[in-house]
Amino acid sequence: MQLSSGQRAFRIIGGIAFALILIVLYAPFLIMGMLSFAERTTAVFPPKDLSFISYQKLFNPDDFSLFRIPGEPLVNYLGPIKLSLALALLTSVLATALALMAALAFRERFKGRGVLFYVMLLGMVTPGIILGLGFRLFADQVALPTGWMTTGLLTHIAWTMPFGFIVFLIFLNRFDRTIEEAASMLGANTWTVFRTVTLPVLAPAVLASLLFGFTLSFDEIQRSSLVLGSDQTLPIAVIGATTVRITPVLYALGSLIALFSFVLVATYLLFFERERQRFYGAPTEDADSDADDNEPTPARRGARA
Amino acid sequence: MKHLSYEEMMARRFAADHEISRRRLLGNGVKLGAAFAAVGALGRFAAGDAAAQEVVLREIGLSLTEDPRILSQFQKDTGIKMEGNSQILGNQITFWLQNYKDYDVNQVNFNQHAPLLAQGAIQTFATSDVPAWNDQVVEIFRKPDVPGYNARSQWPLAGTYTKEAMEAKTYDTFIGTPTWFGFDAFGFLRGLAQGDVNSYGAIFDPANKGHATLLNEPITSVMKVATFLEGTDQATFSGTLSNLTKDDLKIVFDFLTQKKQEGQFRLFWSDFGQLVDLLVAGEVWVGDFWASACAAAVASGADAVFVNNPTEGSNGWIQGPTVSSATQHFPEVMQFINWYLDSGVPGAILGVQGYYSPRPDRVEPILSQQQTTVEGISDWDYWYMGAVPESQPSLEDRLNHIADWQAYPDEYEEYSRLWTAFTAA
Amino acid sequence: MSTLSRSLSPGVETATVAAGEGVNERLAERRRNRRAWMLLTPALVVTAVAAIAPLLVIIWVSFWRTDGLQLVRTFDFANWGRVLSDPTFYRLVWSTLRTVLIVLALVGLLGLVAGYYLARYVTSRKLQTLLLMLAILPFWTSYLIRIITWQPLFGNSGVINFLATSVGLPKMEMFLYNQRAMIFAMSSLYVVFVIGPVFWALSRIEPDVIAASRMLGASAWTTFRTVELPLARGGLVVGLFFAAIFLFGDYATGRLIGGGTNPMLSDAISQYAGSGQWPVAAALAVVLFLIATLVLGLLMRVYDLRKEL
Repeated sequence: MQLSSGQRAFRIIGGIAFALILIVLYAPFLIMGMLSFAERTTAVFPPKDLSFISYQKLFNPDDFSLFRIPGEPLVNYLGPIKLSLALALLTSVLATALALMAALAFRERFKGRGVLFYVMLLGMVTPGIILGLGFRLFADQVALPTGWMTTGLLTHIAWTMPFGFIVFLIFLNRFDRTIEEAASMLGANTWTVFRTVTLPVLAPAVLASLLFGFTLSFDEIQRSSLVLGSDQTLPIAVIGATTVRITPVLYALGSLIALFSFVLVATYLLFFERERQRFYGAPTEDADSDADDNEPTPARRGARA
Repeated sequence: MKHLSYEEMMARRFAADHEISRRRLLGNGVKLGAAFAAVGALGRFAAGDAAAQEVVLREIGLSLTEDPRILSQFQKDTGIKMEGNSQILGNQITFWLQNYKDYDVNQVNFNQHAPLLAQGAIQTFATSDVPAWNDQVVEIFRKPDVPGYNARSQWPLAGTYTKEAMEAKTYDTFIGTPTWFGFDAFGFLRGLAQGDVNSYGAIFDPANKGHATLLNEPITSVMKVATFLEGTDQATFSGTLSNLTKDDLKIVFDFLTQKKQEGQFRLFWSDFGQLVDLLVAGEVWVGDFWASACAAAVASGADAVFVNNPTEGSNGWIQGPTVSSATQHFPEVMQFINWYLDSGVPGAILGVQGYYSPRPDRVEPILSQQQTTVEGISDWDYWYMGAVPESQPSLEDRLNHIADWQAYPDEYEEYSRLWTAFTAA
Repeated sequence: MSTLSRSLSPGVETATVAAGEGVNERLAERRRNRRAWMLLTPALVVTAVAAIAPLLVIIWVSFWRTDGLQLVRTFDFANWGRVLSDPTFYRLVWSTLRTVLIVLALVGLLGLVAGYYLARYVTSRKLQTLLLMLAILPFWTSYLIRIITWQPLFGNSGVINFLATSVGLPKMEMFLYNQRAMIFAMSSLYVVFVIGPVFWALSRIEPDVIAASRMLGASAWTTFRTVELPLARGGLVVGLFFAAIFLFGDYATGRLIGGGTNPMLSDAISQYAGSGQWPVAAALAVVLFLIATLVLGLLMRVYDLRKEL
């Protein structure tokens, strides 16, 4: 393998850049985890008194005797967590269904397709502050009752659906429709073809769309802050608490959420990778042994060159 | 060998696995039903036990007032559940204007009464609906010309009672009921802040350049700067300190912009939690800190000092419940407001954070049972009576050192426009 | 096969009709059209209610006025006149554009370097997958919680300064409460969007293309510039597109890390809306929407995203 001096230099620069990016990306999580065990303040490092009290507070919000930091907010996060989970679940399922239907429609060359593509993306590209404010004013005009099941859900679907839509387009454009046609010729009706051929092929896309819907909804605040009526989601409870005191309880909560997200997404990515390997064959550690692999490694390329 | 695409592989696998049958279709019908049932269950799951209650009141406020210790005590005493929703300072008014139909109470700074009333989002109510509002209420909220009353602005009465009640001098109709009040000034970190730390001038002292801060909000910050400029005879205003004219504003903002360009300010802080961390970390040395933020910072190890009675005078403020014009539970809301004053529990919880109740007589029994860290001095002696005057003067003393009360200025739009211009300068 | 598939699609019904090719085509097309619209309707209804209607309402409100404390629901240009004649407005627009462009440039450069490094210089496939996963993962976690960690990380008494002072370096204040800090924080938040797409775009390039280029005597740099960069452009633009979407939706970085010292349009919108001055807030929101459309449109202009789909 021969690398030019420029390439050698890039290997070092690129490596450093990548390492720095990873450090900057993960340092907050590391710090968050560490500070969740601080007893009093998160503003000074290293924390002086270490304890599990923040986790205790998180799960026992009604035990006021635990909350001894002056001016500490006593926020019950459990209710908002439940509501956020429910909203995120509903959002992800409905947004995925709508996105899939829309993406299927976009396989046809119907009239207005060009413009409608951009219309489909409006919920995603319009800055959230505009949609939050605008939707609330609109709901007022048409007397739409506000709440997480009505205005909240609609806003969250409009925000997350375009992500699913794009994911489905990516998959469908690489999808060979002759398979569907073959199934049709064998006598299956449209719904059956969809259910038994199209949908299974799209399974990873469905999962990706669900994941987008869930996480974006679970984290959403700008659009939600005005349209949820009296319902309170987790991010809104968190931002309310930060206005009082940023106590280690928030870091305990953040650590658990991060852990939950990491496990969820890592599971998905592993599933995706496993499915990929099942059909492409497992990648091997040694680049030379899979000469037919369609995604070659730089080492081998260097040798060829 | 040509690889099959991933999709083709999946398609073949699943096509082989699945055969078309009526049974399967029927199965799908069942699944659909199950899905609907699941959505219903999800709704119940998220709604929690709220539906089980008889009357549920809803309010918004700052986290200080939405303290679960207060709300749960209310439920214990009266059987009425109050759901609190904590708001960010800057979001409270928009949220209320857009959501007041879903709520009963807005616990708000009285400097926001004017726009809430003008937009019909709150209703006024008779003082007689709140029996705890009686002769035991501190007199500053009941009559003019007592220490702390500002004859020019007519506050605090003008913020508490309707215009009609003010003109007739009957003081019998509330815009909102005062339930806690305090005195805004400034604070500093001992050992770091330089210059005369008894004057607001410390915030603008070049010795503290790059380490000063102001709250990122026009009403209170502009008023403090005006208090400083007038109190040090650098300017005279034609409006009151809380209600400046356009010409007055020009003087204030010329001064502020000059200071910003000189690099005086480290940042503009936006909420309480952020401020406490800023103090604990020593990011800022001097600024318009809140008393409670200083107290919280001290508890976390910072040497923060709140200046109770600056030479130029403090800025009084009032907080308390206003009533939604769309509430379906007016009697219960009145019960809540009355309880807030009468129970003494909210007053005691807020009292040890440096705030006062209009009914000190109801707070005294609780606070006098609580001991401070100083031997022999109860929380009552410390917070209300001025037992340690150098750190906490008495309520009476503080009322004597008020420059004016925070109010909603007539020229609010100009305040807001100039403030944006100033932060963006 | 392709002509056959077109005439067969979408259902089995068309295959059974042999006669009248042209009529059949039109019928089939009409049926496809109808089905497409049916499938599209629910998504369009949601978009209409929760995105288009709010946008229209915002435009409408921007023509209202405030008269003292009263909202006047009219349709005149007084509000716009006020906004457009205020020099602060142009300062806000400029600071928004400048911030967005700087962050996008930084994120693009960093993402390109990292994505290229990952695709070409990490030899182990397993390591490649692992590093890519690591780079993407943080996007899926709470934005708010990552933002509030900045203070303990970079603050005066934070981790970085603890490490700095323990090795005898002076304390650093530059990572908080100024524009640099804000841009740094935003770049770190949004670089995740670029690394993945750039990596995938580069992975799709046939190795033979590169080998050929190198065999023809092109240097690695020339190959990168003339072969790989144009091919990676799609990934780069997709990444920047999504970074821009989240950048325009950022609501707390300026406040908590920038310290409110360099307000952008979104901060001013929150401030005006927060005090009930909806006409001004709405006018600024319309402008913000136009800027977002402009930036995203320009990206589409550089590279039509739909080619990546």
